[in-house]
Amino acid sequence: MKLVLKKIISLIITLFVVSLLAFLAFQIIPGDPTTKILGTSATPEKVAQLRSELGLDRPVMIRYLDWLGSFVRGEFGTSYTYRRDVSVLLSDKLPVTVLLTVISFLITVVISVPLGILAGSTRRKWVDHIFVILDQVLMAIPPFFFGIISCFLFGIVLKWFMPGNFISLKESPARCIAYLILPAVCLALPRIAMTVRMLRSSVQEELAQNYVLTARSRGLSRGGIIQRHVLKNAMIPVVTFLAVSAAEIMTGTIIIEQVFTIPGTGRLLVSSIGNRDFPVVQAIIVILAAWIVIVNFAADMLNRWMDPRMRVE
Amino acid sequence: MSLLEVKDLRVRFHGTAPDHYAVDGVSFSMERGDILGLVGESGTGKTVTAMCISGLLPREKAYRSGSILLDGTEIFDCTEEELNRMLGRDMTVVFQEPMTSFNPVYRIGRQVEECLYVHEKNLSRAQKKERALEAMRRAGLPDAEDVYRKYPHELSGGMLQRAMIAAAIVTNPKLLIADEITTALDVTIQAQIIDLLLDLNREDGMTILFISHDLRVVRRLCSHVIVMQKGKIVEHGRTDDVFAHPAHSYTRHLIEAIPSRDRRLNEEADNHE
Amino acid sequence: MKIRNNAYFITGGILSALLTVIIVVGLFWTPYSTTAMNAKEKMQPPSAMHILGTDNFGRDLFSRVMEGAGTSFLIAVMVVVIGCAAGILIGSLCGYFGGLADIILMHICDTITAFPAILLALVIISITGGGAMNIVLALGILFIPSFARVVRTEYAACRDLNYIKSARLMGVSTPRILYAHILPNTLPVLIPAVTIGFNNAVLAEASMSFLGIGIQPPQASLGSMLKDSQNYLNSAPWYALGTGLAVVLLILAFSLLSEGVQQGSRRK
Repeated sequence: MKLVLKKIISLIITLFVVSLLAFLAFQIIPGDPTTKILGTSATPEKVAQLRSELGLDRPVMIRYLDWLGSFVRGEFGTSYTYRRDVSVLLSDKLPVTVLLTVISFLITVVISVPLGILAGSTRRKWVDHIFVILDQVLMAIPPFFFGIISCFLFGIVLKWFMPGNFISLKESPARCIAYLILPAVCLALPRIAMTVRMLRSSVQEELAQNYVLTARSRGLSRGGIIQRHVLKNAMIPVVTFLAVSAAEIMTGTIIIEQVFTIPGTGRLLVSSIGNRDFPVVQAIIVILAAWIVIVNFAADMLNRWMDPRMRVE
Repeated sequence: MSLLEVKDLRVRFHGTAPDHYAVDGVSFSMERGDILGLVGESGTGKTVTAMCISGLLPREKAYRSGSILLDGTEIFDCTEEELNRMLGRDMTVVFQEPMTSFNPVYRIGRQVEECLYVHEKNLSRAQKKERALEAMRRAGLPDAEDVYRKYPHELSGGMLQRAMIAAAIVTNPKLLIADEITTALDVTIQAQIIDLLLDLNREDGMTILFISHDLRVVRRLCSHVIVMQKGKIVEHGRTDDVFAHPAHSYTRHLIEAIPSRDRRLNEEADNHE
Repeated sequence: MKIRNNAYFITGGILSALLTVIIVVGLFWTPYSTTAMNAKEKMQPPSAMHILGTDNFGRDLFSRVMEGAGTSFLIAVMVVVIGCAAGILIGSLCGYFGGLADIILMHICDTITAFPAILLALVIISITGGGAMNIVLALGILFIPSFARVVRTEYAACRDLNYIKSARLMGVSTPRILYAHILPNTLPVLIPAVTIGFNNAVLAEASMSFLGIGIQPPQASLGSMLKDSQNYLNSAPWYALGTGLAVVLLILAFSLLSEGVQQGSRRK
């Protein structure tokens, strides 16, 4: 229990540091956002007025604490371009991205875990070969190219869906999820390939351990050995990798939303980077970073729970 | 009928020279209540012989010929399912490395109960636990309840090997195969484990096939001994006879290789008995 | 087993050699001009004349892919060179000398690698702005930790080996020990790290250019061409497919090569 507490404290510190870095990163930007909003020909009075309006005239540390305080309360500041609360902008975009991430992650886990175990435990050489070759090819295809291919194949050739015709969550949750399946699969495919590859070698490694021989000497069948003994051991390194995957998938949504024109956080981020709309960029980056830190923390906890050797202090 | 009857066992691994047999025409038998020592240097085919008896030698890795009868059943004719029904019930194996022979992520209790889980599925959880605790006490683990809840990394090598023996006797098997089980342990712990095996043999009539390269241990423990060299049996007889009058020069070498101080201690120990 | 391992190496080797030759040739010469527009040959499907077809301006796509792949390739190479050189420097000093600096630097490295490179690159690019030079610098810096990590591990392991100790006793200078004696030992882990890093760099550059925040027009890379091609998916699907296939082949070639090297070294 003490260890968990320590981990939680270190998690909070990490979140602090990440937020501070994210904040400071956007303070060293060359150029003033006021020029972006008002153009280069604005009068100094107007610039000064906007600066105080946006809170840009106060010391950095004050602004950080201020910003952090409101961030925790869910107020992410005001967008330079839209002149609206960032939280309002995000309120209908973040759920879409989260949903896309969750679907994609679930697909990754549900498909790659059984396949990885199969690939690792098969005694047929040709099955093993197929897995290795398939892995190599799938890992080489970037998700956005998968996206373009599926837009072409399922959208233009087969006409199963209209690329760009996104149905919002409010309109129809079911059809929204249906639209998200294909992008989620595109995001998941390279991750599936990597997870299968990793689980495969993990299972193979575990099958060569002495405890497997012990289990065989008890009369346990091969399937029983894999289920009762190998699985938990083999999953331990994979859990950490799945946490990395969750982070990569969340980041990957930025690109895949572009391909399938899904109005999520990613598209907002890209357009905000183009507009140099830093409060928006900052908010999204901090949310993504926090997500990554928390996912890694969860994986760490899960690992400790699975592997009793890691509980030793 | 003998409990175990091995006839003209030959094993050759794939990818080795056609005349290179890991086990080359080995024949012997064991009666109920015997403790048979299988000795020789490493690489002489002791473990391969044991793996054949327990059926754990992967079929696809080696050519095998000959016959192994366990209580009248031909091991070589068994399907994988038939073999799995015998393993853990009629015969069990204890291996050299107690630390790696346990699955690191599960508690000792669950692993001691494994044979019951496989072979006596109708037992309730409490009954299984009761049987496991009983086996652990028999294996000389006084605080069985405590060990039952522990993870492998929390126990010493000697304790783990006792737990491993407990796991191997929980179903009262007809034959216990002990493959170098004292090699990885300290000398004092070795002696304790040997005493434990002797107790099991005397009190429960456990038949034990004891594989070792350590003649001191074999001499203390075994009623009969087989000396192997390069896959062949070079000497076979009652332990006392073999040690008193080794017929083969290889056996003499092995006996001479025992450090003299240990030999003297061994002899003193014998005089005390 | 042997044949299969070699098969990866051979396939990857041939493929990457072929692609490298095409790309290097493309830096100096392409079958058609990559800028001259030809209204008569607009949106031609692949044919003997234009093996990847033509785009909306009638430009030969194979020539454009050659040019775009050249940009992607050069960026990836520079990223790997920066990341690898700085990684070797940091990793060797940390691994060989250890101490507090080692602990702090490695902690920073671990923290950076916990975040997807593309995300961090987006942060940097959003601050510095796009363009080839900024991309190279951003990705190059972000790739340092992965190299520093593997190099450090090797140096820490080699530090106490007897032949290094004896070299020290014989008065061999520290830089010479670091880079003439130990460095060759790191090659088995460095080579896969370089190929994987190369692939990640290709992928990262393509992703960012695809988002429109990487390479800016008129310069073209595979990523920016893919972004462009999406608009013509309906009328000229070969544009997207040909360009995408080039990305896939480029990544596949080097990952096969790396797989072959890794399996080869594991066998020993």
